[in-house]
Amino acid sequence: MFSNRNFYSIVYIIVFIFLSIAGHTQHIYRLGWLPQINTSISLKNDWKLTTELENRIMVMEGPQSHFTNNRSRLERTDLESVLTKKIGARGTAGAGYLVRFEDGFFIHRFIQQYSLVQSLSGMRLAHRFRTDQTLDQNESPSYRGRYRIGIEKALNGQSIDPREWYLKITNEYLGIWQSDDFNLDIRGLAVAGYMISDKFQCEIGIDYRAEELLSTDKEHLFLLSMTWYSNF
Amino acid sequence: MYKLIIIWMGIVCSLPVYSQHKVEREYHIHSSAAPQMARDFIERCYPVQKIKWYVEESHQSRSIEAKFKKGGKSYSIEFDSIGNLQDAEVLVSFAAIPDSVRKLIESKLHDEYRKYKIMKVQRQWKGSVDAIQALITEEKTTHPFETNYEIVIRGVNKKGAALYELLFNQEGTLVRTSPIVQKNASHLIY
Repeated sequence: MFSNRNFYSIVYIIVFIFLSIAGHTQHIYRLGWLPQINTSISLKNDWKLTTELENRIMVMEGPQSHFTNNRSRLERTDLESVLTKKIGARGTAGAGYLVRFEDGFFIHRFIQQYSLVQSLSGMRLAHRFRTDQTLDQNESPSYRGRYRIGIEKALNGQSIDPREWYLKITNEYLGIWQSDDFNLDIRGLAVAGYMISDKFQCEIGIDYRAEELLSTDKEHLFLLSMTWYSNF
Repeated sequence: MYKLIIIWMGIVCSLPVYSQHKVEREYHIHSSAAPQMARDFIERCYPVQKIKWYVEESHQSRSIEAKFKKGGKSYSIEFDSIGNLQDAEVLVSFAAIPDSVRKLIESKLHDEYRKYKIMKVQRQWKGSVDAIQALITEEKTTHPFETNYEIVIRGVNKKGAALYELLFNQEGTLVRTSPIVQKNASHLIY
């Protein structure tokens, strides 16, 4: 059975991997925050529509030796909707569309996903498999395969209930194909969440993203993630 | 862009909404907050080791649960809100159920589900305080008691695949089937 000891072992391994990647002085570092609003609506026959609005605001950017304190700038705004259908007892499959507004242009992305949530002793484990195709008028189309694992742990009791805190950790791997090139991103998220009621919850924490790991211009993003979830 | 966002959110919010089932609340409490009668019973059964205490609340009821491990087995003892013993459950394997009862349970599962997988089995004891105490401490008793089996399965029937909690009595008769309502997991997926 998955125990607390396993949970903390995974946390240590993830933190070690990220610190090993992020410790390189030649890389570009970017600091910002990531406010998000996520609304899920349960529909008839196990369908669900989830819409997320996300802004990425950068505060500081540059190599470690020339870390500049820029004025905050809104880098991009994403609006994503994914329609899913429950498949089996624990899985959902779905498709969605994302529109991104960045540097005065719109970017379009088509999403396909399958997710699986397992209940363990005192925690839940989620797997998400995604593919997406991005169309950008200034670049060649890009194709990504993504896998994300997430663990949530209730801090009071065996499961998360209203008026209770929880921890959530996710780790995602993204393979990116664009114009015959392949690259890799790795992301890690560690947040503290509070379930306000059955319908509302909020989370705050750190979202770390190591981008373009197979190229010379590696980037490390450290984002303060703040998310509001509504479920109807 | 912002007009587009407002229009999109308007469409999303105007879709028909179906409320989710009410889920019970369960939370950890310190042992000092547990009823004295419940603490006394646990101390008699299992005086030394660490006990975790929980409250389970629903619209209709409030109960207290003590969880502990003894001899490699996981026990869960349920009391009412003032500490009267309700039942005791111990986690067992499906193979631990007596052959005759297990065969009846398997037969019922074959009838009810096209496919199923057993996820968890708990042996439930109901009886007097003396009976349950003897069962936990000595694994036998001369007092009358009742044994039930609480089984969580992932089953596929004509309604589709879902998780169910089934209660069988000691004759292998299905007493109750409760679909398990899975909590929302949007924050884990997105």
